This record gives sequence, structure tokens and C-alpha cells, in this order.
Amino acid sequence: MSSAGIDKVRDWILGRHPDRTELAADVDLIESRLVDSLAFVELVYTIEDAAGVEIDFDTIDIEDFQTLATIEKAFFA
Amino acid sequence: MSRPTADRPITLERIESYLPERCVRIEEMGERLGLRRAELGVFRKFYGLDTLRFDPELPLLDLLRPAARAALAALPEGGRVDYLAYAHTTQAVAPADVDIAQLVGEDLGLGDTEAFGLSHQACVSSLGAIEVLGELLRAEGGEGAYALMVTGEQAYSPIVQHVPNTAIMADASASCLITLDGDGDVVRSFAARTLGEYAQWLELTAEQNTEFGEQYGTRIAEVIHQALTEAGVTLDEIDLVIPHNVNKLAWRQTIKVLQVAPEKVFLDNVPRFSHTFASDVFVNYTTLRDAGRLVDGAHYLLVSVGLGATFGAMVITHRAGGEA
Repeated sequence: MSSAGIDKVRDWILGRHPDRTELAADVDLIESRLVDSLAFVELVYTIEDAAGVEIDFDTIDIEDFQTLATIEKAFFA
Repeated sequence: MSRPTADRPITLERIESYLPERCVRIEEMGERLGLRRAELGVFRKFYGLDTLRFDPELPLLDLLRPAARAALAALPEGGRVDYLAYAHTTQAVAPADVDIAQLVGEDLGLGDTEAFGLSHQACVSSLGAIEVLGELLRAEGGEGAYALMVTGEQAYSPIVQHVPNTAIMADASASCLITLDGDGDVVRSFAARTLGEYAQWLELTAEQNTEFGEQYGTRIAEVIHQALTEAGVTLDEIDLVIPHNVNKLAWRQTIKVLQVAPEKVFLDNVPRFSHTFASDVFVNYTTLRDAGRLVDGAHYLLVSVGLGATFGAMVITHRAGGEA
């Protein structure tokens, strides 16, 4: 069962892609361009808002943003 | 679009680059560029940037001179420089009444050399200038004729320095002494394609930016394959891709489209120097050469992309004989 935080992130991504109704946890968000370069900063703010903390960029990597599963593990576990 | 191997091949007799000493972390650029914490974090972690060279106190000629002089030093006795091309990305690098190409020529003691600027391929202009200079040498150059490509500019304003969601520009310069049928690296092909629908640079709509991003990897791959075909070599036969330093994410996408091994694309300088306008491929070339990583007889692929939007790829064959 997913956390409320990751649900917010999923809803934000789906809200940007009205053609989609589902988003599996293992879909590569960057390679699939579900989140592209114009939206990376928004993704950061969405995660921070859902997690209630500022992301420490010294301790994370791009792989932490790769899929909903990696986002959940890095920021909501 | 080109015939660099027609008749007599262009040869790159000496490539040199220069980086100002002043080194800053991208976070130090935040206030100047109006970048928030999250935006800087994205540049660091998504795009792979870290430090860059930036010295707003350095006059432009002082930036250009070291690389140009070093390249010119390879001019053999009896040789003469018939043409000097100053290739730049930003159309206005100086007030309208200041001719940087002419000033560079005079500064190098080449006051009688025909000097001109090129900028219409943006960051691909330096590769494009090599082709233009080669064609001029073919058309008009006699025995002992050489040409000098000079590139380099400064991120003199925040508008020039920050390409939103893409790059933070940095200072560097590079220069290349070329001739025909010389002993240097052989230019085997040059392919370039300009997509004029993106000519508005920083004024593109969000939809156009998204479309450009979606097509980026495919477009660059098309030009690369064209250059490879014209050179008569395969991607497997390329020893290393010597790329632009725009950001690592753009290359991640391109590497996937090309289906090339990631280690075949030299990205070590992206976090060190960031994107240095039209100098990237030559800065990266000199880094590799000075580290002894360029192999005599091996093929290399120089790749650059310019806002506006131009994609360019050049295949060269390295010849170590002329190295000092």
C-alpha cells in the first residue's frame, strides 16, 4: 500500500497527462518523458510539499527520481 | 550538406583551448542568475553540473589570446594565415562598431589576414567555421596557405548565461589552425542541420520547448549518422564521441537513441567546465589529447548543438605526428 505522499506525486504527474489514468510504480518517469526538463523543478517542489521537508541535494541522486518506487523509497519511506 | 573530403581534405594542424583560472561552484551563480535552491539542485543532480570557469573581469581579447596564440605557434616556416574566422554563439559579443575578428587578428600580428565573424549556427559555429575556412582554402588558398578558427566568449549577462531548464554557460576559448593536406587530424566529414522553426531561441513557447526536447535525441542521432556515412565509418569504429557540455541529461537521452556504450561519450568535463558556448568540443579534445587518450589513426566524432536550432557532427581521424 502506497503512502499518501507518493499518491500526491502520482496525482501531480497524472494531472499533467490527462490521457493517462494509471501510473505504475516502475515506469521510468524521465525516459518516458512523463516528467521532462520543464517540470523537474516542479517535481522537486511537489515532493517537498508532499514530504513536508526540503530535499537535501547533497544526499540524493537523479536515480532517486527515476520512478514512483524510487521516489517513495528516497523521500517517503 | 558538405564535402570536406572533396579534392583535398581539411586537416586540423593544431587545436588549443584556454580556461580562465577563476573557478566557481554553480551555487555561487544562484543570486546572479536568479536561480532558486531547487533549480540549482536540479542543475546539479539532474543535469550533472558542478563547477565552471567564470571571470567577468577578464577582457574578451585576453580570453581569446592564449588558445589562438598556441594554435598559431604550429604555423610552419613559410606558412601564412590567409583567413581568420571568429566563431561565436551570441550574436552580439561586443558593441556593433567593434569587430572582434579584426581585433583578434591584429592582436595576433595577423593584421593583413582576412578576418570575419560567424555565428549563425550558434554553438555549432566553430565546427561550421572549419568547413567554411576549408572551402576558402580550396577555392583561393595557394601553397602554404593556412586558416585560423578562433572561438570563445563570455557569459557577460544573466540572459546569456542561463538557458532555462538546460544549461549554465561558462567562459572558455579555443582555436584551431587548419590547412589542406597537412599532417594534422583529417576531417573526414561534417554534417549539420538547422531547424529554423526554433529560431526564436529563448522566446520559444512551452509547447515548442517540449517538442524540441522530445525530438532532441533523434535529431542529433540523424546528423551523427549522416556524418558517419559521409566519412565511411561506423559508430563502432569511432573511438570516442567528443561532445558538447550542455548537460549530462541531454547526452543520456542521446546515448539511448544512438544505442552506444555510455563510456564512449566523454562527459568528464560537464561537471568541471559546464557549457562553454562553441568551445566545448575543442576544450574536450585538448583534455583528452593532453591525457594521452587520443590514439594515432583512430576516429573521433565531434558533436555540438546550437540554439536556434542547429545540430552538427564532424568525424576526424587523429594523427599524433604533429603533436608537440
